[in-house]
Amino acid sequence: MNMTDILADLEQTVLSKNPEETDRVLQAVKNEKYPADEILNALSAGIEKARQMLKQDNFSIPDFLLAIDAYRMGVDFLKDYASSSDPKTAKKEKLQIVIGVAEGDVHDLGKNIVAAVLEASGYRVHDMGRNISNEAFLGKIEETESEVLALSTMMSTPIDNMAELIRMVKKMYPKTAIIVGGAPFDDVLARQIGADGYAENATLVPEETKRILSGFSN
Amino acid sequence: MQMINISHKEFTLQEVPEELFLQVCKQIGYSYETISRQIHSKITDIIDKGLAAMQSDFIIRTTPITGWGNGRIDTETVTIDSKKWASLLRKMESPEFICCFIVTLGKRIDVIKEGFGEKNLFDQFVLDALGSVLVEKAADSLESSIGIEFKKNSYECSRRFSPGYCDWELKSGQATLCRFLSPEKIGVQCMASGAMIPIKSVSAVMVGAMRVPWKVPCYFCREIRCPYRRENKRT
Repeated sequence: MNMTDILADLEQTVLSKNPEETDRVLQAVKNEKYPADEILNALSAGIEKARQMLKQDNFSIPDFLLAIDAYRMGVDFLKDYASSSDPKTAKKEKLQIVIGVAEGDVHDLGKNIVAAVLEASGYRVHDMGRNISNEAFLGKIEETESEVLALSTMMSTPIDNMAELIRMVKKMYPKTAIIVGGAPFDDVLARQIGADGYAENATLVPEETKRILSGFSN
Repeated sequence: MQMINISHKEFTLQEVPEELFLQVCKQIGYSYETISRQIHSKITDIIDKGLAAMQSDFIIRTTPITGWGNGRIDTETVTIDSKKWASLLRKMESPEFICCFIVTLGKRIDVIKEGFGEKNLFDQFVLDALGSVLVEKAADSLESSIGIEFKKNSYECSRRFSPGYCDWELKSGQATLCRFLSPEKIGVQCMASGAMIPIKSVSAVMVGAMRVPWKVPCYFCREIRCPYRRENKRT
């Protein structure tokens, strides 16, 4: 098999609902010393197809999560591989996102999925975890100079505090765009508390993030 | 009737893994007929791990009702701010007690989920679904046992209701129940927001009366799109 075939195979394994297949192909890739950029492109193409399949109801959520697990296995592989084979790829600049679950809430599964989708869409994601204080979020934005803050909650009780955090971010870091998501939100509530964007589910997050970032660059 | 006596021996979740498999598949939106053998075995492994980790426990207390109306139910120790449930008491004959409980699957499920790490979202998702299925079963089982205890003492009871549902506000309702029940004795921590740790924990209240013709307030509730609305509005 030539490089094109193996990378097409790698892309396909992301959709195979079988991360072990991805591992098998990665071992073949390792032996051939293919450029890290090409490998990442194949993985990204696979996860993008998986996202589109979920959007079109051809994938269920667990299918999509298996694709993410396969993608992340590939990205993990690349962390060692890229630094040894292609230092430029390893140091490539990415837009940065701080993500976390608002203070008072410990439901983090949705946030974990969104973090993975954003990472797969090419962002550098700083995942802060769950039940995160406003001060900790502000500190992380300061430290990383992130372009986006992504906030999640599955409960209604943290919303007032989230609104306060959004006010502070707007004041202290006006160049940071804010996107929110989670069970209590819709477009109207997201706007009411001052967020720049809202995504109803994880598959819509990349487009919405792109949209709000384009507004900030104008 | 001051005490509900349910022993921990009586309260055991006897799960058949095959049945649980179907329920978990339903919960995560998977059609079990179409999944591969490999995914079947992955889900089965996670169910086995979850069942082995489960340490279900509960705490129950009853308190006599002292009054109701004006959108609240008053007891000697707890106040429930819910117009709908207070109105339901009007339909009951001699409402006398409320029985409050918290049931949990224990912290080991959360620990396993953390252990799966960010590289195993599928495993996290399945375990979370399993936890949701199991904690609802645990709450159903406890509700049923409490109902039997009420009956032994010639009382009838309402269905269970929880803070954050119907018109009972989550934050204050949860704080009220947690103050009354002290669930830290069973390893449950109540956060100021109303969340509980371990996540797979349920808090609820049931009303005991001489006669309870309507067990939920749905029959006079106008929220016809409520996802929790019971089709048979009386039960």
